[in-house]
Amino acid sequence: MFRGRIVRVVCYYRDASLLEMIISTFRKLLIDIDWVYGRKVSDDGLYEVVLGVRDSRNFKTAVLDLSNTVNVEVVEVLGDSEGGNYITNESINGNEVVKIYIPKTDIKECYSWGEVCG
Amino acid sequence: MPSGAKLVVEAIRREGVKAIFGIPGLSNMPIYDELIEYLREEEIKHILMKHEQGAAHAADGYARVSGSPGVCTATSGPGALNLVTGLATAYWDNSPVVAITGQVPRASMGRKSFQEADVVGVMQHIAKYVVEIREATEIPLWIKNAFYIALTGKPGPVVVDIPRDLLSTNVDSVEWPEKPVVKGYKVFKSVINPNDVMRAVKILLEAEKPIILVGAGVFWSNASDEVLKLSELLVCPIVSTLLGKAAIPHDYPLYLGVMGYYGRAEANMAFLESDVVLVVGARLSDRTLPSFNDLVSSDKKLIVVNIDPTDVMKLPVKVDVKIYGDAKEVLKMLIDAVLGLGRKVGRVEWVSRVKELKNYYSRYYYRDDGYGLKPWKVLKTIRDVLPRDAIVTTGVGQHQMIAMNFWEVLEPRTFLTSGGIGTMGFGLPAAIGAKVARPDKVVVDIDGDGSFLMTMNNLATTIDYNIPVIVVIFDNRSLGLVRQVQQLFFKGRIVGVDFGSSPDYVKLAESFGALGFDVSDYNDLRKAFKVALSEGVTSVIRVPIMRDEYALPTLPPGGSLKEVIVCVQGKNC
Ligand SMILES: Cc1ncc(C[n+]2csc(CCOP(=O)(O)OP(=O)(O)O)c2C)c(N)n1
Ligand SMILES: [Mg+2]
Repeated sequence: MFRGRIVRVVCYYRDASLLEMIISTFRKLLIDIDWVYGRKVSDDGLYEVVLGVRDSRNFKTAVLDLSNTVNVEVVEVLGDSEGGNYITNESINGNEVVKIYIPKTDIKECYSWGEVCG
Repeated sequence: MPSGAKLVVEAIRREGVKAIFGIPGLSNMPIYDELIEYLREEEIKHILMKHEQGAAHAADGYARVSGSPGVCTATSGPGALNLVTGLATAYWDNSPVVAITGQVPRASMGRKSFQEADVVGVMQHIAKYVVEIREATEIPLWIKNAFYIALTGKPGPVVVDIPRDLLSTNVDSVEWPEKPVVKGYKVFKSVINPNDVMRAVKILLEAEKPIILVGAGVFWSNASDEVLKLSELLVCPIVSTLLGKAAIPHDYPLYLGVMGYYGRAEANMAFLESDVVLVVGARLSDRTLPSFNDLVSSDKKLIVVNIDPTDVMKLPVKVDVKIYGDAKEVLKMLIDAVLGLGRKVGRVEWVSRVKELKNYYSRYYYRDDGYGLKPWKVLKTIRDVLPRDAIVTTGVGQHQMIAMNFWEVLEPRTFLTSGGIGTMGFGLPAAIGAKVARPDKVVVDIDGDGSFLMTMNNLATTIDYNIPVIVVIFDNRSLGLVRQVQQLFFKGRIVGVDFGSSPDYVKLAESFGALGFDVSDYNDLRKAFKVALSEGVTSVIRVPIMRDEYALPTLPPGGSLKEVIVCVQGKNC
């Protein structure tokens, strides 16, 4: 189980500045990021980016700011239940080169341009 | 086959743009080249500014006065980077500005090539949106999108960065979009629940000491009439934020002025004493409410109207009624609900208490010890010679705080200042933008000497383009506000704030072809204004202000509204 907060950002890719914007929203509020993964979900540029960030008094502000960022469709705050796991890739010379934490999550709250869901 | 540059110019014309403020350079030259035809036909005007910061402020001033997006352009690298402060100023104050920047050709990127700068990287944190154009064919859509993003929701600046090779690329088939298409962008929904409106009205009617706090949202949604009407119906005094000031004609008897850090003491006191606050279009920033304890420690009821629900969700206090919608729309519904209930309120006691506060503090403000010209009296003298609808801009500093408290706004949208981020140098270029938007109005920049010197190079623009504005310099030979803080809160240790005898403002003005006036009393000031107004040429009026004048009231840094200082060290006492 991950001890920080997990955020899933559903967003539209125009260029890689999308990722900078997501990450800097946390950076600007002095919130540290433990891990992040993202992927393209559909051909029309829909992406999902999942971040594990440290809990902080600024967390809510970051989520709200992100939910008002152009190209961001919705921001979900996920709860992490027992059973999340790490996928590791040890293929190169037996060294662990990729380690992704896949939380077992449920949506706690979500925000999209002033609308609250979840 | 039109070029990318032609598409840029045609797209902005289609958006109804009448003026562009900018400076050309290698990377945006193709745009200028295409602009020639439009200039000749007088479809669009170009105003050559003397620094790109000024171009951004001018576009911002234009937007604040007209309500339509202001447009500026700059070349890549230094040109674009010079826009940064101006765009950040617009962003903090929610002003719709579209900036079009040239970028180095795609093939040169990443090589520290001449005038290359990462505009997206730099601007994305100080603008509402930045888009890098990837194909010439997408220019029409992205210019449309830029205007849409800039003007809708919470307005703000949008930057369109275009590599030069795309500006020169010819496009064989052009599609002019009818509608913007921006994925992952939504305009805030105005879903106003009639039950919330009714709850708010009931609370307001039952209140003994209600107050309305007016913010910039009222300005942007042109809701001045509605807010006055509601205040009249409810017999409810009004206080405002610095930007909200521009929405309220100050001859309205129930307006108490700007509250907050340097705000009017009576506004702060009335806010503290109130039992219900209706906040319209204000986010309760640290300038308006330096300490949330002032709300937490009271049992005030709070009703908040805001177009952006996240502004309300961020408030660290309990909000009794939240209404998410456009200020004008919500206010109309509140008015209808009050009228529908048909209940009249008297509130004789509250109104007389508010008047008492007003009178009490007036004794501190309007003093004249005969020692130099008094800033409040200078403003009063100017007000008396100007038409009601004259537009005033300011720099940042004591003169701005004094204008905030003592400049009488008589018509909405006639007071422009950098409220959110406090940018010195805003005054003159914003005045230029305002005058271009409303050439029929008198535009006056009430400036500090320090602020004026930051962007005064644009005086040349006012002469070259016949954009007559009047600049009044509160010349205290000092960065007065910083000096005041050193005096009051840094044990009087004055450092790095005092200017010497340079420059001579009259000669400076004259060297630009403007009229220069040096006044030594109120009568001189009146005369200078008469000449400036009748000559219709840019004029610089230097008003000497004592270096040790204070901008009062003030608060101790981070202090509570309760700690408002109206008189200190013999000043105003
Ligand atoms: C661009 C910028 N630099 C610095 C400051 C910090 N600052 C705030 S007020 C002020 C003094 C302004 O001096 P002046 O324009 O002469 O106004 P005065 O206070 O003397 O009326 C300064 C330096 C600022 N707000 N903006
Ligand atoms: Mg000064």
